[in-house]
Amino acid sequence: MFELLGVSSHALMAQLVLGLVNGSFYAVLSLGLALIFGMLHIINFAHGAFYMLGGFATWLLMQWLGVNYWLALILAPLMVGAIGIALERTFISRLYSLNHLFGLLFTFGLALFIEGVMHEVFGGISKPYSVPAALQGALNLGFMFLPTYRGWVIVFSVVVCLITWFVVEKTKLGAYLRAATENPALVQQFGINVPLLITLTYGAGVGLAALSGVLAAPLYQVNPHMGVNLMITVFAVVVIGGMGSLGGAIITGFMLGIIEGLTKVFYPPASNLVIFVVMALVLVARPNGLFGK
Amino acid sequence: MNSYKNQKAIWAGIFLVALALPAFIYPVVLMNVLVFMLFACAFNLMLGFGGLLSFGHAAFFGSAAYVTGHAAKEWGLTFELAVACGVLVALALGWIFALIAVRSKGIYFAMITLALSQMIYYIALQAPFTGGEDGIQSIPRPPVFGVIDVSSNLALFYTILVIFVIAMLALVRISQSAFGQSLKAIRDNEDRAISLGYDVVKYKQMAFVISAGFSGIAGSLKVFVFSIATLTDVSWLLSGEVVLMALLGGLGIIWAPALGALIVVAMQYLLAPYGAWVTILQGLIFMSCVLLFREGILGMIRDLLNRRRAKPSTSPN
Amino acid sequence: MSKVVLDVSRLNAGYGEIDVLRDISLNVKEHEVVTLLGRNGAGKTTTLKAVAGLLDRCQGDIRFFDEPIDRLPSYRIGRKGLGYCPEERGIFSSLTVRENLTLPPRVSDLAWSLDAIYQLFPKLKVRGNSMGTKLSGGEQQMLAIARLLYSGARVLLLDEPTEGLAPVIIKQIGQTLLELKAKGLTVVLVEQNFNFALKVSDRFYVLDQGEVVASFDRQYALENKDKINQMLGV
Repeated sequence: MFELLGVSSHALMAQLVLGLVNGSFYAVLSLGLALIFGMLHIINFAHGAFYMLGGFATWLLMQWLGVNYWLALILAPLMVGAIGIALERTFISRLYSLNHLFGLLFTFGLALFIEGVMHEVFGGISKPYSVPAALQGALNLGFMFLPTYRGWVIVFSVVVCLITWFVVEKTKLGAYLRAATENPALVQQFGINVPLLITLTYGAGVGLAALSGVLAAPLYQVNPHMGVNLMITVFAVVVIGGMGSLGGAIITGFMLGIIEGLTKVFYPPASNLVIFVVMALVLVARPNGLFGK
Repeated sequence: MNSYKNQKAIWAGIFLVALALPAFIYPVVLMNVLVFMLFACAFNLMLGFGGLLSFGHAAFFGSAAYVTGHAAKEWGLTFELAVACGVLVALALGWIFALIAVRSKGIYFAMITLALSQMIYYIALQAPFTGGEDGIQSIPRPPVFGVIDVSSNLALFYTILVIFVIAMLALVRISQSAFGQSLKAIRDNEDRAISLGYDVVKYKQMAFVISAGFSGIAGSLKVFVFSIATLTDVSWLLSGEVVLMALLGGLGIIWAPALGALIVVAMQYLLAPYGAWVTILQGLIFMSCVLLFREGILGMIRDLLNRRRAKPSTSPN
Repeated sequence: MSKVVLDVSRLNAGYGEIDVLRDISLNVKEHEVVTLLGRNGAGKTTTLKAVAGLLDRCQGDIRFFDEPIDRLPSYRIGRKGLGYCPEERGIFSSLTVRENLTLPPRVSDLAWSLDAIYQLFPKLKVRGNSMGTKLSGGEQQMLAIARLLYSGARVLLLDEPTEGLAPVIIKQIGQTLLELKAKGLTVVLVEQNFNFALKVSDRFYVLDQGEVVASFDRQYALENKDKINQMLGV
């Protein structure tokens, strides 16, 4: 319909959609990371592994139990979240009194371990997962055709982000969480079981990662290494946004997805790099990120 | 002073043993170990002494590898000039990384270095001279200074051994110098160091650049051992491996990570036919080290020695 | 003879590897205001923290309404009605005033209603939606106390509530404490401001280097002000 710098509006719109799709994953994953970091002060390097486990849980539920996508949206995060909770109770809670870098190192080792095991058990080849029937095809929006599943991913991710943000910022449970982030000892003295709160927060963060994995299964197919490179980009997103606020994580995620998409249209060779370049630039001006404290 | 003479004697003994090792172990394997020992110790200058956890050291190792490989293969430079090119690039990269990352602390710093290194990875993936997924292959072994022939593995081994010893001595010297002590002071209590007038940012930058340079030496040497430079050399996996080596070996002394490097490389050889098991085992070792052996092998040896002495008040620390 | 609600016997406690408190024994009766006096570093704050369950090292007998609490984790102690307000007041910056106020779970039927609290502290209602740390120091102190009332704490441990506050505000806090005492609460104060403590307290303990070196009642305190000031190194 129109042309901008030699690029047709169709191509532009298509890339914007892809950018928003990527941004959805960046947003939900960095949201989970920020949630975990706020409470536990640990960078969950294994976040990508849990995302991958979410994808695998989806595929396995279909393969072994014939459970469909819609149920997987609920079951996979619960299953993987349970694994996360078990890990927190047994190992991760021992790290809280140590230097925060040890948390990073431990979860890094955990990520290697989980990925290695999945690779051994399932092999390195991607498992196909088909788009659920209700979400197949494309919607005619007038100015473009929007693949239904992609639209779904974007809308669902936005909703998940908004719900999470709402629970943390506007509810009593969220007040407990925010207070415990600031002064866990005092909150505990008031009578609130802070260790339980911490465990549940880790489970919730991991569950969010797994939820992203479910969304990813029909898009990117399921394989043991699907989380790795994505996570490093998500780290960059998190550094840019700063870990101070959940809202910041969400906005930064979507924004960077769009920037990446636009770069792919106008200057493809840089599309892999643009987020890292943005990170470098932001850091020079604001070492704590855009929304960091 | 008795223990000082003992120490020198021990090191001399180890060196003599090293000279004789090619009789028992393939020189390529030995060189592999030496390269990673150097890499791990270079890394330790930042972590053990500076308290800075970098998850992106593969950027220095790998970029030096690519540049040295290219210099030797395409430009026909001699051995030492090719290595110099690689090291220069590593130094420059270290300086740039430092500019961007050094004002950030702890966890942020680790993530930033990881991200910057990933950026280098993507550049290496796409840049024309790196050969993308195939890497640079069939890298020749030009003579050192144009005259010393290192085409045989044995000759190359002794050359690398000499370079290794010189580099390690330099690292030890740096770690024991005023600079090294200042780094430790900053690591232990940065605010206090600032109040004492230290230009903390400058010190961290210097540590970064020096560490990058020595990592670059390791990367450049590696390229002559195996004749290839690939994406693996700039991957986050390699960055993680060098962290593992340092953690496993111990951070207290500049050369302790060499022990970790020995174990990790040995493990890779032993498990080579078993694919993903290397990763699984590395993950397990990481986790056990963090939970149980935070001081690494060095720490375990120290504990053993302390228990033997049985007089806690006089044990050195 | 009113009953003893807090009984501390031979308390040894501290941080890390070191014991700061040595054989501390004291008690607090219902509806009393008891103040711990002493110089900086005497161990007053440590004593409060030990009672509240916030210390790793804690040995001794602590009884709250005749129940032993020295082995309990802090959240169990809080739930029994022992409310603690740290020196920094502990107002959460990422919560609104109202969220701060209503944060603690209500642990007894003595829990004040919001209306009752707003009657005593009208400013808190007005500033309900401001973020907690936007309040002035005095207002934050009021909020910290109000928060404990909301939870239904039966005994309040207040660490230096007047620190850093203007005389006018200090007077207000004093009045508030007297009102709370009239309403049936028991308060343990840590104070460096002896004059303030004199206005509100029934009994005193003086701590020095982790030990109780003196204990007396209000009568004695009024008659021996100079001697006590000397003891406190003023």
